[in-house]
Amino acid sequence: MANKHVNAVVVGSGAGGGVAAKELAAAGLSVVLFERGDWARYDEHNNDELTSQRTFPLGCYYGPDNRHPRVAVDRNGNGRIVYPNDWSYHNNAACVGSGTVSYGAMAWRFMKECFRFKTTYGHIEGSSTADWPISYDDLEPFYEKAEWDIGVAGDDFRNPFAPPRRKPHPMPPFEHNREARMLEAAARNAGFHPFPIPMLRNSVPYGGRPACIRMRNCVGFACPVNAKCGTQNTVIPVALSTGNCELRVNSLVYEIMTNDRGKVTGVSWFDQDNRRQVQTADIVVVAGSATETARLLLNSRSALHPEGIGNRYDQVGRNLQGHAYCGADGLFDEDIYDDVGPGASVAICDFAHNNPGITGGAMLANEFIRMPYLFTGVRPPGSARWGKAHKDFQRYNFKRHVSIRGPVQEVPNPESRVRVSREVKDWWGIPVAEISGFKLDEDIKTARFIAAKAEEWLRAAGAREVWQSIPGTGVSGSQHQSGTCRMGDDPRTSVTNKFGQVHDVDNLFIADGSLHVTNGAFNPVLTIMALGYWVSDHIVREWNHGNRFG
Amino acid sequence: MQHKTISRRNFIRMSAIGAGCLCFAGCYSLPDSRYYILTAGEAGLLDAIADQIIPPDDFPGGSEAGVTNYIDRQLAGFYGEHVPMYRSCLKKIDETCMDLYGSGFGALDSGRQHAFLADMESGRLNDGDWDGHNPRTFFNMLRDHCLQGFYGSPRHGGNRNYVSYRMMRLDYPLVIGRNVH
Repeated sequence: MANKHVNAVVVGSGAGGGVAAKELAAAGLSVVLFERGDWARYDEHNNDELTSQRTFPLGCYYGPDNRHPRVAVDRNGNGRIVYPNDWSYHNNAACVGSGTVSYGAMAWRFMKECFRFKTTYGHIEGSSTADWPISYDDLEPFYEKAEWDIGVAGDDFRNPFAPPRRKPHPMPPFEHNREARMLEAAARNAGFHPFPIPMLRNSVPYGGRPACIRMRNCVGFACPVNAKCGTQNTVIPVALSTGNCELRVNSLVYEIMTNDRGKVTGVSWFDQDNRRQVQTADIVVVAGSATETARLLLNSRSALHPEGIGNRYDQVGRNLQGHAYCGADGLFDEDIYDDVGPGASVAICDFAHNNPGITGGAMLANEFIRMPYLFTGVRPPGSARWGKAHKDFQRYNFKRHVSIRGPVQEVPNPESRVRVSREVKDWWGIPVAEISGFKLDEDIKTARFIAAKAEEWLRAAGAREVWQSIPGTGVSGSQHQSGTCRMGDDPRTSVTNKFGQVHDVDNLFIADGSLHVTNGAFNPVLTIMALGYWVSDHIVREWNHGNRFG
Repeated sequence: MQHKTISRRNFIRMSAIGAGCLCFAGCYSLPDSRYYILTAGEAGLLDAIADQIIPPDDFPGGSEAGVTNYIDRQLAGFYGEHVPMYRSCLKKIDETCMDLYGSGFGALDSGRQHAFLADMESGRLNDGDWDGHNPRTFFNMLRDHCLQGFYGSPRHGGNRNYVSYRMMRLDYPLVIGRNVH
């Protein structure tokens, strides 16, 4: 069954796809935006920690469900089938807005050094480290666009490490909660430079939506008053209102179609009644997340693309990254918790880059509020895991516990990768993503350095007991997944050019975290949004000059 | 979001459970009338285990909070794949206690119950015959499920009257738009 031809198909309605759909539709292109999930609603999910996007033993309310398995491969090469509620699945979400509905919403610009990781830190043994083919200065206007179009509350004034900007944030920064006020004073005493975390969240009414009501359960949950800014309540409604964009939910794109000249002609997809359909288009923009975008390209084979579209040099799916999260936890002698959400509020960038003898680094910030079930796993090493002591800790230390965490920027590893399984298929019969890999030793070394700084911060604040958190050596991905279709000037070591255009396939673009060469010392979502604007800007510019990429 | 279709796997699993209950009515104990899956004996044992994982003190423990109800509900749904392990390992817990101490788990004094579970957790019982299951793996899963049933949202069958949130001094239900003072 064929659908009416459109100018552009966008696959995935997350941080990148939502932006691309809106930019293309606003420029006059006809767009179909595909989303395999559905609209998520606060009042359906409510405050259910066990199906949240943060902890999910009973499945993922924000998607996907168990019709979408993957394969997780361990260090010995043994694969096992995993479902979204397993950490080894490396889930983000599957719904309109994807992760941006339920995220913590930290809104970081990467620093200049993040884009020049190889030049700054040199070659690392076993890595595929590289610089981005674009600079911070190239992307700066698009960070600004994302901040104003979607909505960011922040103030760089007190961050001496902040990269330069032309325009301030559109909304003032959030007021600190009690924990952050304490940590801010301690950071100053320790010689650090604390400042409020920029957030994709309304500190004042913005975009026709109210200000944040400071709830405790934010990260992992939709917002009941829509104060958290995601693509589902900003750019996607705008895209729909242009009249040029059709959103199809519960619609699963499974293959990119090409003609005998190797050019993309459209996509094959399953509709919500699970019937096969074909949507033709002049261009296709893939924004399904680092895992699913790589999987889609690898599953799109033809005579001219025998190993998957864009995969001539075996680069699609490689260099999968997340962050090597680390930090420290502290206990205090009095209640610190004041129930003012979302919890994370103060950060330092003193150790994001240029740490002597250390590759990379991370920003450090106080953590989002820990929900009760998640807190059952937060204990000093050697603590009771059940029984009276465990219950007492939960009861007496919940309001006295403070956590500092930092997303250590990983060194790209070509062996951390997404492939497609030869044996395992999803509910529709499509080969599933297979994830394998590990962290390089350098990541763990940097994590130890950063965790020690987190401990120093907590001790400066007067914590009576502190313990560090160091990541394991398993592959990263999940909510910060990136890197699998990276941009670059050399087709032999990258999948797209600097505009997200797949090498060799002029009418195929990528506009999600897959593009990231390195994943920054920060949460990546604002960079993904900025790249959505950057890639779309190129497409629209070319389109307006008559280029149909055909 | 409401999914119109459930996974084939879940669908097949749930019909098998239903079919199993009907077919073997004569040979097996039926689920206790309060539960979808658990027999009265299994539920009693789980209550005792839940009270070791989260003991009652001046706040309710696991059994009073409805942990057994939570586990039963999930065994009938999302955790259906774990029913064979639960059936087998709960039986083995009682049998092993009978061998070691001369009575089932529930009749042991609290200190003995705690020590037995600690033995499961440490792997000291791994040499025994547990029908191919690993007692340490089962204990870890049991512990997780008990904690979910005590600290998770009451909508899943546990945390009766938000008891754990009251213990942690968190006000529930959340009042949207509340003032901060």
